[in-house]
Amino acid sequence: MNRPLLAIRRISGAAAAVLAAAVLAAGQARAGMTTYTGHDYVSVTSAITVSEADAIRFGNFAVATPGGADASIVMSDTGARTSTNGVSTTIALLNGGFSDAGSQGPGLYNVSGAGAGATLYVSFTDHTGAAITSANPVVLTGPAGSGTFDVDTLTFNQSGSDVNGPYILADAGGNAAITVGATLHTVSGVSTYAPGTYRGTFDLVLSY
Amino acid sequence: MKKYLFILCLLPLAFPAAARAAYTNDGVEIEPIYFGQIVIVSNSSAQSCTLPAGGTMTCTSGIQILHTGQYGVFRLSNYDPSVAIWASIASSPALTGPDSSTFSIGSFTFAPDIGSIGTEEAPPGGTLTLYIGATLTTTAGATYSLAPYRGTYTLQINY
Repeated sequence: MNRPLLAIRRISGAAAAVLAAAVLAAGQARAGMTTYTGHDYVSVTSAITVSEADAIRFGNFAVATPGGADASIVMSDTGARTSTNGVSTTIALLNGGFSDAGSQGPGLYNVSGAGAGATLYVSFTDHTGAAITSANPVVLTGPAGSGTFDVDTLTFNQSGSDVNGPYILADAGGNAAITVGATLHTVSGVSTYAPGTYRGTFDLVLSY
Repeated sequence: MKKYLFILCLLPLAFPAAARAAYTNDGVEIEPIYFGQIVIVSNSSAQSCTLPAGGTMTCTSGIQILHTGQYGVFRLSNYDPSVAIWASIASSPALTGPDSSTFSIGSFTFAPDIGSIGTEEAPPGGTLTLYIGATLTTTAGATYSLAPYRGTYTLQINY
């Protein structure tokens, strides 16, 4: 008679211990944690300043038989000026030297305050931020009653280009000299280009 | 009698084990915490930038924001949807760069606001997109290079 009783007590004792462990395990499942690694960073940069040393200057030229939109002048960012005549409208370049009055030349924009060797992405927009294109050119206006010229295809002395666009690299001192060229076009339907100075503006945008 | 008791004891162990195996508590960093591009104009006293979770970064007067920052984003999935979770930051070492200067990181915030036991929340469907904000602080008088400063932090999800 005693043996069964002893046996039952042992089993019961073991069962109690297992039950306690089960309750403990369930409690731990509801009081746990998981950790993950996140990343954080900041980019310290400097306030860059840009100043215009020279505007883009197409120089002196004469337009014969205006009315066509197919005559143009390319002022390259290296300083070379060339003209292309249209079917009806022709352009004669005048005053070829850089030192001549009314002389031509690329625009020059001095950048300072960039980081040493910083990559400076350059783009050209109008005052609304829209890119300068053939459909959205810089319009040069001159004497009252005269026609206008369109300017597009702005280029600069880029160091390279990547997915973010063309860029120039700042030097070790954080400076860069950006020379800018462009193409001037006569405008269709213009009957006269009076002698005088024609001006327009654009924004040079630096992204860094 | 012996067999009957033994089976009764095993059942409570088997069920919780099966329940835990169903929830793997996964977490993926979708976006790091990015304090943007800043210009430190004056640092004679400590300056800071606060990037709220789901909000817009602001900085004290000694720091100019060139490009604004972006709060961090974590995607939590495969959590038990019936169990509330809350978030904490186990560690947040300073951001380091090319010099000995550092930025301290702290005052983390979360959206949804599950940053304490009192505001814990059960992830609907076991999934939760968690926005994480923080505050970056300079060391007064320190000089910072024009460069990125990077670090890591440890997000802890408690349940």
